[in-house]
Amino acid sequence: MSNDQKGDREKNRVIRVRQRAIGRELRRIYDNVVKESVPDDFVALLQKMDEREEDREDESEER
Amino acid sequence: MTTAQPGSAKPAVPKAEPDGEFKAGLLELIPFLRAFARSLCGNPDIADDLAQETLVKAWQSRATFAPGTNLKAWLFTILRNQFYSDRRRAWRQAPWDQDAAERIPGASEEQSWAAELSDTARALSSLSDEQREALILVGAGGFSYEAAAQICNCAVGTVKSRVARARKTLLSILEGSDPLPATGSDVSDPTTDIMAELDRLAPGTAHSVGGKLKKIVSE
Repeated sequence: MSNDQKGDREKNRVIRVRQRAIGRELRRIYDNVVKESVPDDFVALLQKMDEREEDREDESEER
Repeated sequence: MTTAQPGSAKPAVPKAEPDGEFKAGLLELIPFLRAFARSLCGNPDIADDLAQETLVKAWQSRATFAPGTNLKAWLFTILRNQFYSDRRRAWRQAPWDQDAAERIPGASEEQSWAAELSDTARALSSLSDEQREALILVGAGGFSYEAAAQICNCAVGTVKSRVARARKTLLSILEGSDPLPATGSDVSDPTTDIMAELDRLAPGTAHSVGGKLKKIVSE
């Protein structure tokens, strides 16, 4: 194997190692947000939308 | 937050049981919506607004969701469309940036948050929106190229090349140890030219993103 080829293989290896590290870091950034506790207003929002729907149903049943 | 949205907002026929299931599905996926929104916006407050808008829109359009299909991908598609339509609106309203920055209560928190960001997170902000979303979906969100293509409304090959280019750009940014550009503004002035010359002479001291860095990598 020529020195050039060795150099290329080493360069590619370094790139792969660094890409893997970046990949891990990307997942860490994303997962950190996933792991955060969901702010209360999110759950409240869903609850509100659901209840509004139920109210509407009740009204139509009464009529 | 606005709830009046153009497009698919269509009142669904209320049915108690499927709605309950749908709601449970939404609840379960909120953390992922927040993570995807954060990676698109950068700003945590704006990201949470976007994620909430997505919930409202998803709820209004729930009749159009086919049960048994991928709810996460369906929600991510709504979130992404919302992101781009919000931004188009923002661009039409000229002084949006300044006003919004003053109105957001957590603006100073955001700055300290930004200061703690890892190099990778800051490098992410230098990517184009298209490259960033493709990379996040595939590289962090665990989506297949096919699912990511569906979410981004483009061809599978396009996603693949965006991910590849994003990886290459991130790598080249992180290899240059100099401070990253605070914003994506490309200013052409004599200093930039000097920096470009320095970059040419000493690869690894890159001061801006883009073609210049690609050149360095290929050298």
